[in-house]
Amino acid sequence: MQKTFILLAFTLSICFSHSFGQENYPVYPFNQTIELDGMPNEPVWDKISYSSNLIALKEEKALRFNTRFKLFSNKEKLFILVELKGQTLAEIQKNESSFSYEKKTFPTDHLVFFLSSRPEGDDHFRILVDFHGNIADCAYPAKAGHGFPYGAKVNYDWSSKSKCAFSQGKDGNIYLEMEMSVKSMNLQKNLFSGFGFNLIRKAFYLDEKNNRRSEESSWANINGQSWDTQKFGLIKGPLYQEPINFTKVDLKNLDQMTNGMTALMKSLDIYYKAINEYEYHIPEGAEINGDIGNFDHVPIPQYPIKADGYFRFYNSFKYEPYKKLGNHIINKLYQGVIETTDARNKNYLVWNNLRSTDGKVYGYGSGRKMSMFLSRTHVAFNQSSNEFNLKGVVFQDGLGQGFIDLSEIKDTLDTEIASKIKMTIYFTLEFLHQDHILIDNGTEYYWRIDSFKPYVPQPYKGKLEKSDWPFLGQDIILMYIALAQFDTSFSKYFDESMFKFSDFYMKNRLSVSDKKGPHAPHNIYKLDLRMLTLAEFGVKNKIKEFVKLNDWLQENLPGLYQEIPKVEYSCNGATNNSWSTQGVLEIYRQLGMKTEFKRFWDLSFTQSMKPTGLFQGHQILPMNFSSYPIYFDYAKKALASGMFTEEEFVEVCKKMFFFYGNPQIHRNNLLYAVDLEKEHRSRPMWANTPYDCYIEGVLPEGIYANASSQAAYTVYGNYSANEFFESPDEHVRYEYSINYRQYTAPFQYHSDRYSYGKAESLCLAQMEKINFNLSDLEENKTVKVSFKTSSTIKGLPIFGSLDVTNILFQDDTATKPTNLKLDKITKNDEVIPHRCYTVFEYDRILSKKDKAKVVFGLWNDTENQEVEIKLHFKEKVIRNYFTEVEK
Amino acid sequence: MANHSSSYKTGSVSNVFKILLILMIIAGCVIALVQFLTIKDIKTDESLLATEMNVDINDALFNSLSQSNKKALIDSYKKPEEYLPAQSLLPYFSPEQQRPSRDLIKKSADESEKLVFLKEMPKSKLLSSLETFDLAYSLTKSPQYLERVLESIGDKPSLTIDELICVLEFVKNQKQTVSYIPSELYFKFMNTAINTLSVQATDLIDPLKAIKAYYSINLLPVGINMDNLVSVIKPILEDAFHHKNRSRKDQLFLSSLESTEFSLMLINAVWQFKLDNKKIPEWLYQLAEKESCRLAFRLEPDGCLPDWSGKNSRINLTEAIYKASLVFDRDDLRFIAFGGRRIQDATPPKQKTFYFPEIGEYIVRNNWNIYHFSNPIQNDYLAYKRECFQVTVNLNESAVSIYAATAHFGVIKCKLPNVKSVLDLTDFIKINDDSFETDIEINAKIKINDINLAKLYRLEGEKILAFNRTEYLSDWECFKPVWNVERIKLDEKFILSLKMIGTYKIFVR
Repeated sequence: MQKTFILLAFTLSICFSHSFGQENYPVYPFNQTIELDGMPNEPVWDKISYSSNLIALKEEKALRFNTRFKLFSNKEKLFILVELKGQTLAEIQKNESSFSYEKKTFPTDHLVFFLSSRPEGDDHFRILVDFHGNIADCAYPAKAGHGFPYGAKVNYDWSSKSKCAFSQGKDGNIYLEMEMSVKSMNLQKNLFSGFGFNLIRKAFYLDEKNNRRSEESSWANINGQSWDTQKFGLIKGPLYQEPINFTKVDLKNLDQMTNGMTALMKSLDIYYKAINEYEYHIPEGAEINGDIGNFDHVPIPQYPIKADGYFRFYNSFKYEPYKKLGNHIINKLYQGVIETTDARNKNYLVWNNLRSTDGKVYGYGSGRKMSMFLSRTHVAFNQSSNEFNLKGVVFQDGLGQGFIDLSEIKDTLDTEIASKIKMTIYFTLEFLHQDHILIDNGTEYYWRIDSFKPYVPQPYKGKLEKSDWPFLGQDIILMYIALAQFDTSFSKYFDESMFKFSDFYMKNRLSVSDKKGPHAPHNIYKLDLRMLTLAEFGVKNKIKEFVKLNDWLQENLPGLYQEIPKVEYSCNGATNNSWSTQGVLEIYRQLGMKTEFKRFWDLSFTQSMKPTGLFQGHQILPMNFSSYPIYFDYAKKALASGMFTEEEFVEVCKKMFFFYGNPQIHRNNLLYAVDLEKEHRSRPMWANTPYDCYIEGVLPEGIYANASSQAAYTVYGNYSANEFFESPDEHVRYEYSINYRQYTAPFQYHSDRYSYGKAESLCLAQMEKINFNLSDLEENKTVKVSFKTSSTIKGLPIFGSLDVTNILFQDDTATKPTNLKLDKITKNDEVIPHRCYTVFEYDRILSKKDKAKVVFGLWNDTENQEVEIKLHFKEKVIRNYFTEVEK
Repeated sequence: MANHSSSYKTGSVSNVFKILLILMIIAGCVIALVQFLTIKDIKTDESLLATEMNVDINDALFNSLSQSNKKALIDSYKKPEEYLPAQSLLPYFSPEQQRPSRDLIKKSADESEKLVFLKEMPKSKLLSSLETFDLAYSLTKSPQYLERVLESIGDKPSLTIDELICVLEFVKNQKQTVSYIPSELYFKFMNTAINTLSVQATDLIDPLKAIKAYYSINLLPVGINMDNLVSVIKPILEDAFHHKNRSRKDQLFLSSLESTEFSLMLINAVWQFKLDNKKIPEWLYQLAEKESCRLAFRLEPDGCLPDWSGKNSRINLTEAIYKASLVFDRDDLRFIAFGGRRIQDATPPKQKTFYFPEIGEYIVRNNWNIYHFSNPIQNDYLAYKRECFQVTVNLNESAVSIYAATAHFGVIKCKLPNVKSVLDLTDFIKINDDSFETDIEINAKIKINDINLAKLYRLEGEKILAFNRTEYLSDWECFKPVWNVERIKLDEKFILSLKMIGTYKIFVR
């Protein structure tokens, strides 16, 4: 009965799985074999359905030759039947077969089978078969980076032990029967659960002009990337198990959620340590010990986002360093504006790639490195001699979104800081409204997006292409909204301009796209989204020109976005090159398209989000972490717009914090040891931690494929025999270095537009006091802490943060412990989860000032509730088994 | 207004969609049902989905096994993930991860392919290949390695306890594949393992053998009853806590070498308890904690023990200490495991000198500043900081091992005083804040080939400005390994500075 149920569930899953876009086909268990003659006359073949037809290898187009297959296994062998239409065996076999050792393929008609026994991995087997029955097979090892091959050593000695036979069917089709060894394919374990598979057919033919042409078709939609196992189809067996999903227990696991908030807080503290005293332009992240020596890129668009994030955490926790850091970042932004002037002496902000002091503009990751030790910079604040290039901005709309977010908390900012933000925007908008930058020729109205030299103003001579449209008003529209929210007396000078741009947009938008959807042209949805934001601002402030824009958008955009787009994410740290469609969720929300919003949300998040990250195409995707907090923000907005119920919103938050706190995506000292070879660990002076001041469990900058935690190493040493070491092997055991890299990068906006700071500060307690001293200890070594739960929703997790440095350490240094440890935290005598962590050299690298901090979590009962919790400290006890020797 | 009309439209669309969705679900169910009925009709062979047992557990071969142990074996074959002990952490492999172990894993996978198809595999070759197979498995997850190993073991039923531990660890590391190898191989091996261990009970008195047997028991499938053996082991190890060892007649509890092995095996045993999330018996807990501390306190500042034979490489043992620190949650063990680096909850031991007459060792230090990057050559390479002097005296070997700052001066054989109490030794070696006073005759040539010379230095031309304390290695203009720049000539001054430690800083009375 149980097995029958398994088969029923299996069949149902196969029936519905096609709707989610991934090719799959069942492998049924039959304890039978076949006569390998190419003729599908065994009864077993009649019992099995064919797969879907192969599709064109690259772009969508109709095929001349159709192909499909059937497949079953008897546990020892895998049997495949392929039906090939449009050619005859005799015709193909006229061409002599020969294997091309150079290209490692057959130059004539052939089929290629790809099989990965572990669908989540890169290693796979390739078996080429030509129509003379020749087989050439090889094993591809796991690749060493994006794309293929990157130095991978293909094993051509490997043998699949496959056999095959062709026949010419009476129905005019060619049939291939194939037999593969389960053991050779390493399929023993996954045969009836799931493995990756693809079939490619290459057929040659003569066209109308008698020219030799070829047609390539593939079962899986691989877009030409035959080596990409992630795009392989899935052969699902009855024992197939869906990737692990969130359970009810997970959604009650406040302890792991608290671990998630702790991981985030560690990230904030490490970045604070790295840059709070750095006097130059800052990087997007830092090494876990606070080092910035491997960073070169200056992410100006992230500045306001980062400042906003720190300010929001300050507003809840009242922790001065966060405010200090937010101000520090804004001051840099302002210094950039004040020092940068154009030919007309107008100040402005450059937020595309900044120019190095050597005169070059380096690409992301390829510039000259920053250095805290040498206290130097390669990127000056004065960018007057740099070019200005809106199209070159890698973090699109990040600057504008950050300013909007800041404008929403303007009343909490220091007056001077608020004023600096305001002037930064105002000066920049004024600069952008000069006649050589703003195109206003009666029919067109937009800001030029090409690269130009502000120090030598020259009129724009270019022509606006359709593919340029997504960049129009990029950041500028949002900056205008932010300025208006700061001070309308400054933004009013740009009102007319925004009205004109709205008109230009409305008149032309529909003719820009050849087809519907978010990427026609690429990223056009980003323009639509910023116009929706402008319209929302206009409606809220009753500005009639923007109400008109809103009406237009509500009427015309739904048609363009009616069809749910393919679910795509910003993988591998994509920025302006991203094909993510996640921003369309916001378009649906703003257009009130609730059904589409919920369907797309279901596909993008509910079905794809797992406890270790977003799952697509056999694996947890390799992602920059900035691709995740979007779901906090969009869910909160969906709640405010009535798209989500409170329960739905709470569930999203719980899933996200559970994911944030998943130890599998974090790094720790044990993982460091495991990553190394046994020989490395055996060397003198090796230790179980990557470096001094290392912190475990920090929110990573990114997550590698299959949720592997992010880290990189270089191991090198001196292998030469010399006067001290007799053998090279012995020498390297003493003179070596294991260079470890692990980054964290709070508020590192990349591609999808959302309010980063808002997203991650959704569930913070409103602390009244955060710093505690030994004098706060009561007789029983407890400390009472009061706070408010803020205006959040019942059932949400709420997190608080405390600084207990002066309770655990003397003189602010961990080298002088008080011998106390935090034992537990209670609320109404019930223990609530907490994490205690130390950030060494908190003020800056090499300072001796350390911090001990605590993060705790609790469920929100009611809004604005006064809560009192109790911290229980106790003496550390170390058992001593050996007595001191008298001196 | 616009929003209202929009939501009205959306409502209509929503209803249409709902109807369509319901129709789709019905259609899907019909298709599913048809396919299901078809499948029932074609009679797939469900037996192929079950774990196949090709051996009769009631065969005479397994007569020595009790019924409950037979059941436990069957359970562990069918559900190995549930019934076999937790795996050690194997390197996890991800395509984009630049782990140092990556190349080794690839090489191991290639090598394993060849090993698997070797016709003959002698036992020594087999055992030395286990690590290679484990690494290959972390990449391929293939059952072929386990099958090959157990197949070879089947031909060689006599295993020593050490060999047995190696294979049992191998089985648990690759336990996901147990159901995919012939059951006969698995049962035969487990039968051998149980019998090998049962034999141990007869004349077991050595604590080292006892802990090995105990560790092995904990590597067997859940449900295997070895209570008889445990009842023999427990009193031996309880005695061991009080340094009693009935297998020795020289009044020592263990030799230095045995003590090291004993500590490491205890750490393995308690670590397995932790991996399995099982409570450690109190008697084992306190013994393992004590012996973990002993091992940690014996280590020299580079994480290695003195090699009294003078023939072997120095081997870092802090990995084991770290495991112990996690099991026993001890700040002092963490400090030693981290090599003195500043990490949360890691503080140096309060005690600096230790007298272990039961293993014949006496250890004296001036402080615990063992972090190699913060101690040595700072600002001027001639000014050695006088940190972390450690002298280990081995009474059995009549030798001392001297370590100063980052320099290990090797083992020096010397005449030791007649030691009747610890006072004799403290009189023999006096340690001050920055020097030792000793009667040891250091006439032997000071061994400098173990000295840590390079690491990374901050350079200006050929002058070393600073040692790279921070390991902030990315800044290549600031810090360079010495071999990457024009070679620094190790001039006489430098050599002299090393010698100074031997001849000047260490006073010879």
